[in-house]
Amino acid sequence: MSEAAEPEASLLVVVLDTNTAAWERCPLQFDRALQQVVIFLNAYLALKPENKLAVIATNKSECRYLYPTEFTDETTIPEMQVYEQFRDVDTKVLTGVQKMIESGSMSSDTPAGIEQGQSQVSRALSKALCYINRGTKASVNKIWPRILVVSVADDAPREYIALMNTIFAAQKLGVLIDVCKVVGSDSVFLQQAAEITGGNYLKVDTQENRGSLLQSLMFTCLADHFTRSMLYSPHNDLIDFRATCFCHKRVVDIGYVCSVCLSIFCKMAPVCSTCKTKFSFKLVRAPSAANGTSAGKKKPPVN
Amino acid sequence: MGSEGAFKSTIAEYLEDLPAQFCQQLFTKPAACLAIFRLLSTLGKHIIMSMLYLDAPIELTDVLQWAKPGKTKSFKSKIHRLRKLRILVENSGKVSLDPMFRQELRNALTGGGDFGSFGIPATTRDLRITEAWLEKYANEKWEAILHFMVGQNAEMPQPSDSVLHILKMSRLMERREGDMRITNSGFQFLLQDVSSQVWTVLLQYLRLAEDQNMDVVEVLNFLFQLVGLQLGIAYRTDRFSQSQRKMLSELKDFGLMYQQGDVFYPTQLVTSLTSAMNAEHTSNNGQVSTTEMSADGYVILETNCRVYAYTSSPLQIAILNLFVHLVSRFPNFVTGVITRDSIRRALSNGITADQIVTYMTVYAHPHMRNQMPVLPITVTDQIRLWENERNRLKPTASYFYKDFHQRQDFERVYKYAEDLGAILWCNIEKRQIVVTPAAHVVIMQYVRGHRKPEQRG
Repeated sequence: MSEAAEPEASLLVVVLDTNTAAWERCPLQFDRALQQVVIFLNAYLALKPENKLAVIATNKSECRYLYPTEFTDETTIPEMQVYEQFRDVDTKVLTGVQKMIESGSMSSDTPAGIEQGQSQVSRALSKALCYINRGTKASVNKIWPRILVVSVADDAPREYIALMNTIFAAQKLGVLIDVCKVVGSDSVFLQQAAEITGGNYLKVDTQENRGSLLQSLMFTCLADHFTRSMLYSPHNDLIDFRATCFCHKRVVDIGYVCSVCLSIFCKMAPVCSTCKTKFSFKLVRAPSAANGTSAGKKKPPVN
Repeated sequence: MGSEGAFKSTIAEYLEDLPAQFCQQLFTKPAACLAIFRLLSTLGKHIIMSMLYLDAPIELTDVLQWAKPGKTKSFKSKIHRLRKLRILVENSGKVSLDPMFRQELRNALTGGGDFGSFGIPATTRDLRITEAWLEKYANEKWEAILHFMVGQNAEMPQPSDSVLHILKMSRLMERREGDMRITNSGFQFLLQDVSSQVWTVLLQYLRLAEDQNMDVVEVLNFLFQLVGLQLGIAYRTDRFSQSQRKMLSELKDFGLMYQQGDVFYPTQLVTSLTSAMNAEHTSNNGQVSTTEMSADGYVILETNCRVYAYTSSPLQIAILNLFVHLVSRFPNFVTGVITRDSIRRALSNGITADQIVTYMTVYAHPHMRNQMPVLPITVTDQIRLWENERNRLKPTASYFYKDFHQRQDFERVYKYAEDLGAILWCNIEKRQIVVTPAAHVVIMQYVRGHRKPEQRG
């Protein structure tokens, strides 16, 4: 047999966006979508008994682990027709989401800068990376980590810096990030996340076909590292790699970059708001007094 | 590695050989579908999962387009396997999953379908029976059987009759001079990992069930249901049929489960069957992936062929003794040397060099695993050379032609046989040829056909 060695187990962290405001805009109802995600989780666990799973839910004000959790519901007698491992995950995810929505509707303390239809994806991703780091270190055998983001909310410009940092951390750790955007416009940030880490970005058009979320997840996001090396993946050429400026959170084509900390600004500023460096205008202006524009150096276009 | 033939038949191959209507009956249980699914290769699983929620059949050529160039061949072979298992149905160039299989695998994932297909948990259970206890219980039971096979059963009770029967039927042991003795395939069996050993026994159990005119599908369904159970949970037996209870009591003797009244607890021997080792890849070659490394390695092998084994288990010592010349024994540790004689003894017992190397790799001490490759190459090469040494003579059935009267006759036959590629040996001066049995018939016809015109002439 010329086949490569059988692949090792995977560690999948699913980041589930439970932002109710965003789901309301979605033609696919949230509970239906949740059912499909749960089936996908079961399918993932069915692939290999050693496969590890974690589910993190996020909304506009918080993010928490749904699975694994310490909480066990001792009162329920195990259902008879469900595979034990699936039942455990299913109940924890479903009750966890329910609790989160209940507590979310009561409290209204949203962090500044996050709007109604936006979620704290970067927080959830950082949590996921921490979990993966712990999981891969603790495991004796090699385990392949990856993250799946099921996203509905719009990009929150406030999150840009944190999100980019997590993406590069994931790239360094060798963690793939798959993104499944269910509703709304393409997420520029998450597209970059998938592209940089080598994952798949997938926009599911739920309007046309109601079952297509599950089918897309099964087809694109279920494959492990080994299978991905043998299959074509949906590729996206039109990815917006433009950066967002740190001062007004606007997407910029050409901006100003701090020469010390590489923060990006859309307008010239005397002091870098990130590292508090005072730019010495005289020094810069002296050789290039003729054009007299840039405070720092111009950001080269990124491809 | 022809001597491994006895173990080549894995559960997947067994399923492929089942008649179509049996497969259909098998697919009616979600537990069976899930277990079969888990036995497939990763790529096969991916193909199934991609098609699981497609309602319409898709073009086979489209499916092949999923693969990257250069990978199409292994993709095709996987699709062929799935078709042999009757999971994939092809109809005029379009493929889809078997409707029953698709339905029941969906049920397995969503929790629909039959009542109690994954076992009926008992409401009361003995709190003393923990997962650790079950693990210990199962290991003791299983090792007792292996001990018995190695012939170190002085203080061990003899296994039950059904166990003995299966060992005998599978030719792992045979009755010689009134005693049960281990056979060559028995030695090979010992060197396998536990999960392949359990599969070997279960396959044998299936064949036995066929001979006893039991319903194979029922046996298979029962086995797959057991595989889907959860370690550490008590299950009820009161809904089992008569034959299922009989199977339960027979499999109990192997330590696959622990029974207490009308409640039973599956052990890790059965619950971990679909994990770690892929049944499709059982003993295909000497390569061991890191996942198969057992956590409790104990063997250290040095470049000078010395073996140090940190173990006090009589079974492990007995297995090492199959191919190591043991020198000294301490309370927690034995030392020995791999010599030409010790390896040749093992080889003459039917053990292959690859099996020896695999065994020592799997059970390598954690300190050994830091090096790559795990075992010193000098020693593994030497073991393989010693094996090749024995293979200098190879018996082949053949036909010997001699005493050709005329030189032309000889040359004609010689040329004809050479064209067929059937010559095993020849001596042109003495006009002697040795040919394969398959070619003998053809050559005889040729010779007869040519003799007649000569006789006329």
